[in-house]
Amino acid sequence: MGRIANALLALNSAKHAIREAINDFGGRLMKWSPLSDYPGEIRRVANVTYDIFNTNRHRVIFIDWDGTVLKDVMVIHGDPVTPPEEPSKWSTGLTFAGWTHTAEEMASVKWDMCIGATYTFKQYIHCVMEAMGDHSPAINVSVATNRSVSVLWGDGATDSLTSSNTNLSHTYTDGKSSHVITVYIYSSATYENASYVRGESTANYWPYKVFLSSAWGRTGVSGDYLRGLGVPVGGQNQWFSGAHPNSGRYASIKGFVFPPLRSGTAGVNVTIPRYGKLFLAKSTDANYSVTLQNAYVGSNGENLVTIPIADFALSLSSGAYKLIVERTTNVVTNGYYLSLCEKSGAAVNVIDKRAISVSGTLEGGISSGKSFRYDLTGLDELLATLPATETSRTITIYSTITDPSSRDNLLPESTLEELTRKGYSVAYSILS
Amino acid sequence: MRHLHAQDGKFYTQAADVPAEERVFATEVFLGIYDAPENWRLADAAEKEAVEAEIAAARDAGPDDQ
Repeated sequence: MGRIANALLALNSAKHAIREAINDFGGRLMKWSPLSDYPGEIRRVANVTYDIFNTNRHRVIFIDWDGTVLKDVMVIHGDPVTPPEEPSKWSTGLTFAGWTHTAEEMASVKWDMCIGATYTFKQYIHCVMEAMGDHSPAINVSVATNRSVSVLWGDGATDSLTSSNTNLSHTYTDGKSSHVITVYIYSSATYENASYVRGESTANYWPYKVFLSSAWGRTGVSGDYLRGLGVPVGGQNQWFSGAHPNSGRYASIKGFVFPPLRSGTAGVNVTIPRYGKLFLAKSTDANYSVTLQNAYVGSNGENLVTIPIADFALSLSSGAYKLIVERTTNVVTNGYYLSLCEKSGAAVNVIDKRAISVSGTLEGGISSGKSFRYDLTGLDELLATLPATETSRTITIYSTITDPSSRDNLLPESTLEELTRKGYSVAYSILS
Repeated sequence: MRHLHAQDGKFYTQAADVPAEERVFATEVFLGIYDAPENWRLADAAEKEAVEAEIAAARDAGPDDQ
């Protein structure tokens, strides 16, 4: 009896020692097999647990020019994603011109994507007038050929024209005695001469010149009939919220946020945005950087200044990010590009480039494109390091499973057989 | 090679009473030669989530003062 008791005590001590060793190693003791299973000797029963991350689904986000999320879905690898309904931006002068990603990319989703709406670029200024009386004033707009005008009458009716020197008028029927008229002047030019925008030149004032006359045939206007908000009143020609050459006012220009950046494509020179300051809200991934390029365009269209990358060496994580652009002054000085660059050692390659706006936010995503496979050779070495008393260890494997019906990215049958033959149980936890 | 494959959104977990941090939830189990099917049982997603929540709570609470 003494020998049995001593044997039991020794067994308990051994079990305790094994458990302590496992804990010290950071492993997990899965299970003790009863001694009755192994008469005469203690066999090692070990379990190896593999956690495999299933990344065969991707997130696809569609965003509008101002960062508004239009659609946010998860798509199985290889499946198509359907874009949302085309956005409409009448009042901002934007014409939808497609998505940033190709039809092929959306037909078969391979990684996370942030797809942005693109628009035909239209810089615009809008002026707001309050007209008294039950008749609208005639609006005579004299603009260049690359500009267009839309008018939102105070009762909801709209008008538009693209040619110059065209009179617009409207008769109100709502019985109100005054209406607020909003005029949108658009420019479809690639860029505008900065000096014109600043109002420094009186020869060609950008972006517009609006003549107002009363509906009763008067060519002159007065404060009795018209009141342009925030602009001088009186005289025949009224300058509204514009680059008045004499008043020193500056245009309340609004640029547009362009679609998000994405890796893997060549740089695209879009248009010249306006002034602003860039703040990067998030940055973690050292493999990517963001540059801020000063793309001020002079009278001859030349680029003048490029801010060195080092000055704006901001990194983006491989995922959704947000850029915040704030306008700091009303003076138009420089436009900015935002470039997405990929670092390769000391070299910096521009992957994509987008203009940034003076206000609003830009959300974009960078496809991770990560794909790696478990190196099976490491398993044998790992198993060989297990001490004889250790009965379990948790090993984590990261893998990209491109086809959930295929086991190509899982441990092969031969390895599984070898493991089980050695006494290991292998449990797969495939996470969605 | 003996193989257990959970269906209908369930998971295999140890049949024995083990601490939460040691519990495994797996969709497939390849049994070692010394293991047996009765050592594993089926669990639903709710149990899995409850265990994960328990582990997360213990982690957030920090180590015990001893």
